[in-house]
Parts: sequence; C-alpha cells; structure tokens
Amino acid sequence: MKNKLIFDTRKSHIELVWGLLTVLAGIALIYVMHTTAWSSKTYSSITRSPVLIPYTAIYGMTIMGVILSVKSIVKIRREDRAEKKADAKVNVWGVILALLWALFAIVMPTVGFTVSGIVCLIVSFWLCQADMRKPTTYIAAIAVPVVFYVIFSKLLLVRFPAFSVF
Amino acid sequence: MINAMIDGLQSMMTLYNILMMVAGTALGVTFGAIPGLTGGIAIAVCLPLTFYLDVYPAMALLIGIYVGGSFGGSIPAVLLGVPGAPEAGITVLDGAPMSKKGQSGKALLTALYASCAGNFLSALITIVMLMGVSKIALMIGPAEFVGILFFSLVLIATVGSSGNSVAGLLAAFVGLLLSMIGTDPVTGIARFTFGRHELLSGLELIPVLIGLFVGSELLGGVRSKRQTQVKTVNFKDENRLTKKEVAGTVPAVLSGSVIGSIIGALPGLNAAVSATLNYSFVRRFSKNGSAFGTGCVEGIAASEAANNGTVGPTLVPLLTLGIPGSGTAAIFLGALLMQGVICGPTIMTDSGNVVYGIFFALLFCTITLAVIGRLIIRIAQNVIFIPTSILTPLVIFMCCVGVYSNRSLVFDIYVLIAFMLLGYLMKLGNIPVLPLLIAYLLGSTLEAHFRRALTISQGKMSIFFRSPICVIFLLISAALLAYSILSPLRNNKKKGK
Repeated sequence: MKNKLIFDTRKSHIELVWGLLTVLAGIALIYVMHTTAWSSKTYSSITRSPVLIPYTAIYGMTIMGVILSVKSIVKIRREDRAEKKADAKVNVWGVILALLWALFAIVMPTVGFTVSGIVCLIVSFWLCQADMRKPTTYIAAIAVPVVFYVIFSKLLLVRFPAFSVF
Repeated sequence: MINAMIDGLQSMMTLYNILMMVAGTALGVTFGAIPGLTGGIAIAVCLPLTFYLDVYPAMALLIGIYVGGSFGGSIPAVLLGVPGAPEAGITVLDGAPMSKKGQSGKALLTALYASCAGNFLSALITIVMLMGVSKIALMIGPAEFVGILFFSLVLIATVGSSGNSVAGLLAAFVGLLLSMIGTDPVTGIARFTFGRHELLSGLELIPVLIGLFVGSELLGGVRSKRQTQVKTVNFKDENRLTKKEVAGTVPAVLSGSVIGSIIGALPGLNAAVSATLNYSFVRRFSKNGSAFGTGCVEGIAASEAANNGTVGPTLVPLLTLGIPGSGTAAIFLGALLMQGVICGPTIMTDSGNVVYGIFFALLFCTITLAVIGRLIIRIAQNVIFIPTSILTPLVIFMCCVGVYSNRSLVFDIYVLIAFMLLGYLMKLGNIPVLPLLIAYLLGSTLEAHFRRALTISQGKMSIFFRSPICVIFLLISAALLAYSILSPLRNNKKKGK
C-alpha cells in the first residue's frame, strides 16, 4: 500500500514556499512593529532605541525571503523545461509525530506525567511502525516513563503533574 | 596560569568526574553509532541533566559524549556503509569496501586509533591556540567585537551553508529576530512577548537547541526503513593492524590534526569539510593514492584524524570570544551559561581553571576511548540494530522530559515541539539550521556590544570605521557576501553557455 503521507516533490518548490512564508511573516511583523507601543515610540537616542536590531532582522528576513522566492521561481521554470524529477521527500508522519508530543504537553497536566507518557509512547511506536506484536514494545513504553519519573522526581526533585481528572 | 592549570587538573580528575567521562564517552560512541542519531543529539538530550551537576562533572559528561560521538559515526560507516554522522561520510569510501572484504575489525581499529591520535594532537595544539587567542581577545573593545561577531555570522551563513548563501542569510536573520524576544536590557521593554510572561526572559535555550537539532535529524526518518544486516566484528587474524600499516597512517594522522585544528577553529566550517580536505590532500601525496576508495587503511585514517581533529579547536572561538562555530559548540555555550561561566576575552582570568579542566577532560576522554574503544565497539554494534521506530519516540520523550525539568513549565515543551517542526521544515527546504542557531545565540551579545559602542561614541556610527580590526572584519564580510552572490551567477552563466 503506497504511503500517501510520504510524497515526493522538488526542493525548489519547498524553497518557494519558504520564501513566500518568510515574506508574509516579515510583512506581518512590520505591521506589528508599527502598531505596538514599544516599537512606535520615539527614543531620545539611538543607543536607547530597542527597535534598531529588530527592524534590521525583520527587513533582512523579508528581503532574503523575496530573493529566495524569485530564485526558486527561476529554478522551477528551468527544471520544468528540463523535466526534472522529484528530489525531495516530504514525510508528513514526522509532523504528526511532533504534534502528538504537543498533545502530550496538553494532556500531561490533567492526566499526569506517567499515564500520558505511556499512552503517547505506545501511539508513537504505532505511528513509527514498530512491531506492536512484540511484548518488548509495550515493556519499553511502560518502563521508560516510570524510570524517568523515578529518576527525575525522586533524585532530581522535579515536580511532575499527577493524575487529576477526578 | 600554572595555578589555573593545576586547579583545573585537580578539579577534573576526581573519581566522580572520571566516571562521568567514561560514561559520556561510551554514551557518545553508542549514540554516534546509531544512524539518524549523532553525538550532537546526545549532547543536546543530556544538556538539561547538566543543570543538576556542578561545572566539572557537567563538562566531563559533555566532553565525553562529544569525543565519543565524533568517533561513533564511523561504526555504521564501516559496518553498514551508512555514515552515522555527516563527518563520517568520507570514512564510508574505504570503510565499506574493507568491511565487504571481511576486514571490518581492521577498519574500525584504524578509525579508532586515528580518531584518538587526531583528537589528542589537536587538543595539544588547541591549548597553545587558546593562550594566544585569549591574549588577543583582551585587546578587543565593543566596536571590534561587533566586527568579529558580524564576520562570524556572515561566514556561517555563507561558507557554512554549502553554497546556499541566501538561505543561510535568511536563517541568520530569523535567528537574530528570535534572539530579540524578551526584555530589552537597556530600556526594560518587553519585545515580541505577545503578553506571555514565560517569554519575558526570552526563549529558553534548551528547548530551542534540542528542538532544532532533534527535529532536523529525526522527523524526516519516521517510517523509513533501515538496513538490518548483521555483521559481527572480530579483531583477530586478518583484522589485526600490522606495523607497516600503522606506520603508513602516520602522515595522514599528522596532516589531519593540523587541518582539523585550523578548520575547527574557524566558525562555520565543520568536521565534514576537514575530513574531505585531508582525504584529498593525503590521496594526492600518498604512494598508495590509487588504492584510496577501494579499502585502504590510510584513507580511513585521513578521514577520521581530520574530523576528530576539529573537536578541541571548535571550542577555541567559543571560550575566548563567546562565538560558537558549530552546533555542538553552541550547546556547550548553553551548558557553560547554565553553570555561570561567561565565555569571552576574560574567561582565562575569571574561569581559567574551568577552561584547563575542559582540555584535560578532552585529553583524558581521548585516552579512555583508545583504551576501551574495542569494548565500546562491541556494545555499539548491537545497539546499532535497535529499530528507529523504537528509538525515535524514546528520544523525543527524553527531550520533552529534559526541557520540562528545567523550569517545570509545559510552555517549554510547546517551544521544543515548535522548534522541532521548524528544524524539520528547514531541513526539507534546504535552509541550514546552523546560522539560525548561531544568530540566536549571538544576537543579544551583538546588540549589547553594538549599543555599548554607540554609547561610547555618543551615537556616532563612525566608531565602527575608526577601528582597524572592525574595518578589516567588515571588509572581509563584505567580500564574502559579494563572492557568495556573484559566484552562483557566474556558474549559471557558464552553464548557459
């Protein structure tokens, strides 16, 4: 079965997306800078102004974004003429895995560190196509959070959230 | 200086620290041996732990991992034909053919001893470099610092971006912007915090470092198959190194140490560049040049000595100027900051004992690796075959726990995940992560020195053009930028013809 969440594309397409996103981000940040109090205020001297380096960074980022976008468009046209094949693999599973661990951060304060860790590890192993028939997979999913809980909370005195649904 | 050396040696060579160094070395080799994981990831994952340690055990652990990880990448390079780290890519050229001939033990032994020799010699060169650079660093004022920092950022963004200078500069500007998040030290104004109190002190270092490293390396490999062919290593019979073979590798090791030291000390140039340069250099001048690439111990020695020769010198610009020249050095900067050690021109006077302690740790870890390397190889060759489907989630879980343990804030896990995604998307788009990381680390320092210089000159920008050192660095930066822009245009014209 073809894995639709891993697909081929060209690096030039991804570079174009990056360029456009950076330009949009730059424009948004310039708008933010013009509308927030700290950045629109006038300062008595350049040394007291907290906006010089931020503006430099934002404009620099935006200009580089424009250049990258233009470069990518030229590259895409050249590659289209040469009928270049895909040279990059986008793996959406990696993004899903990362978002799963964001979910871990959301549920951990309610469900507790150990329970949320065990559940997220089991789901992660399944996502990564680990062999779910092997007992060692489940042993690892249970043992690792428990061991970490013991080490970090008892030895290093880190306060982890406990189960608090009821 | 002698007192600091003795103090550093005595403080580092305690039983506890020695155990940390041995454990770190073993952990570094093991992590480096697993394709998809690197010594850098191991250092990033262990970084939160160092918060609970004193400075000497913390540095002992991290240096051990660094030394071990630099060698560890050669194990899959030989056994699987897949480099465990980018710098071991050249080792594959001779390591894989030797493994096919049943000489994997010999190849690994060559890699081991060449790594240790390259590391040891370059560490000695580093101590000399350190003393010289720290004396020069004391003559540097805020304007000169701005020039040096600007040059470092441009170098990393252009030369260190493998030809993709626009992407490198983009990443550097993004990193600079990220460094501006938090409270402005001069006016006390909160910048880009969007009302979140967690951002008042800026983005936390650990989730950013770990997120960028782990995300860019691991997320792309989810659900991808890995070779699981078993090849056992033995060190007997035809896998023994003869005296003639050892003697033949000496020139390669010596040149590797020197080239590694020079490349390692320059921000933006990495161990892979050093390995490639030395391999080409040795092949050109060796009597066995034609045998390179077919399974030649000299080839492995050239690659490994040079890539490990960058380990110590990478720390020179970090310690003396506060400029991390690589991702691993950036993590060390984070670790030292957490321990209250301020890197910069005064480090030799303020924390000279710590600096010497770090280099004695480097020497000791190298000797440890040479002594117990065979045993670690036997352990690592089994760990290599743990599926990534198990390892990747475990590593991410460890990272989440590590960043949470720092401030007990769930927000830090969100930052970690955000930077993991950013690191992965940057890798997809061929945008180098290193310029972003270095700019993020140096941004606030650059701003502080810039504003300090303007305060001294009462707001006049001419201060940057009155300092010869600053002018030289600005001119070199301008030349680098011009070259990086014009070179691709010239190449495109030639292709068009």
